[in-house]
Amino acid sequence: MDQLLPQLVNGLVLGLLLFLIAAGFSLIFGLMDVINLAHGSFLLFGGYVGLSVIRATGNFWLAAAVVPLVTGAVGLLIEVTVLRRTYTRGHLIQVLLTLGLALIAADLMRWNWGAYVESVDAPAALAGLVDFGGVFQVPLYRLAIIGFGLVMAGALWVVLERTRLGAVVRAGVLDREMVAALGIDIDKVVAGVFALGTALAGLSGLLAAPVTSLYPGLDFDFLILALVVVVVGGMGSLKGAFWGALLVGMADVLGKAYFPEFSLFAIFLIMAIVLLVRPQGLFGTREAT
Amino acid sequence: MLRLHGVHAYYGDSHILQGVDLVVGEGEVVALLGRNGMGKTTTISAIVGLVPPRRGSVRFGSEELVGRSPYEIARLGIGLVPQGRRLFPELTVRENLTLAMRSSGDGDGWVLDRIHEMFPILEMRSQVPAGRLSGGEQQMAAIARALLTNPRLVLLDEPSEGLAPIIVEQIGEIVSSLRDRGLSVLLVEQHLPMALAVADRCAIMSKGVIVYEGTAAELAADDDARARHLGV
Repeated sequence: MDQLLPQLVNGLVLGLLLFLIAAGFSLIFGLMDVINLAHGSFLLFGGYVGLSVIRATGNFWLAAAVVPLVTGAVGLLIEVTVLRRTYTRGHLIQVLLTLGLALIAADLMRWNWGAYVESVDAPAALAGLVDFGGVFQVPLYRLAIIGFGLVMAGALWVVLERTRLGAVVRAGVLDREMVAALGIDIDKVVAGVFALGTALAGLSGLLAAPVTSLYPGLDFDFLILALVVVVVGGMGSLKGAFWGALLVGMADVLGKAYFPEFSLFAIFLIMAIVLLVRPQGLFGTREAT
Repeated sequence: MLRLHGVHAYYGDSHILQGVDLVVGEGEVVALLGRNGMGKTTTISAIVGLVPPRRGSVRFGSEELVGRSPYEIARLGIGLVPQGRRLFPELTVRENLTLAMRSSGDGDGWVLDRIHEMFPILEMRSQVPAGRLSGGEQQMAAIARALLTNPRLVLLDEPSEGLAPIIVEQIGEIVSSLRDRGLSVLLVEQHLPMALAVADRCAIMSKGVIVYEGTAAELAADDDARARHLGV
């Protein structure tokens, strides 16, 4: 019992971090039909940019403001200059392009920030432990991540479900051509969603850093988890990204705690079951192609 | 208002439109008829830029449409009611209608209240996902969605498809009422009686070209043309 509760909290922490990553990943997939294999690179890049800002200024909060702007801007630049040209050319070329970008980014980051594990301290205001009735203790920073993840989930839900722009995005996921034929510049919407998704990925890289540290390979570790989340939750669905992320986060943490020799197995078992029972994912509307 | 001249369009390597000439005048309802697979829907897609023509010209008022993207063409004042309606099934009826709403320049255009007056059923169903509407209701929603962009020309692609006769009659009345309000309409239709009832002029397509043009009354009287081109 004294082991399980802290693990459940850790599962929530990982789950909500995964949600921040997978929300953008899933919307990008739904809207553009692009599997962005460089999505994890934006996460690691965000973490490293944050590390540099913190080293230069000592201010975590400044880093949290700068990181999404930087990674979102880089994302926008890549969408407009390169990725946009591939939308009509099928999955193979997109997978090759984004995988190539991810490999180049990995080398550039290793070159600039080195190959060692870099730890990032939680901000001073969120340091310390919270005691739960003497039963177990949880770092305040992890509780803050849970809170922030829930707030972001709520904010994204409101924008997507309760605004006209959100309706345009959801309509674009269903039938992009028809949205354009109604007089909406869907290319701009697509670019905006890509920028938002990469900004969120960068920010979650910084938020994850005090928990996971930063190291070469973190990009692909999270990319694989995000892929599983999207497959489990359903492509292009925010709700799917949320519940899929919590499920995968829990499974990963509990699997590593109780069956360390099968840690990845737990996640892929869930994925296999979902694919067998509900190929479109828990909340998806169409099957993966 | 709309003038196609020598329009050629392809799907992949298939040469679908082989020099289409077609005119829709101001405030006119033109029915585009023909058997399946003759290029009627492709003509619509070529006008709105979803299948960009490779040769020829499509003029809308003083603007050339060829080479423009679909959203720019729509913004010039062309409303599309596509084949199969293509509503966004998971969005509510209201979201479908208001998603692309644009006000008209003169402040006397289509607004949601006016649409609800014309289609009371859509107001009653406004919070229902559009995918759960009946076929007739979906067709009304698709027309309403196009009208709320305040177009000057409406392109209707087989609005009677799959609907019960009584609903087809209703759709015909709606199309007539659009003309009464001064809209131009290009109507692609398989349902000949409905087309003849609402159209001012008819054009028949065969193998990617227009093979017959005349007023609705002329076509109604021309048994030979109907038999030859439409098989009725």
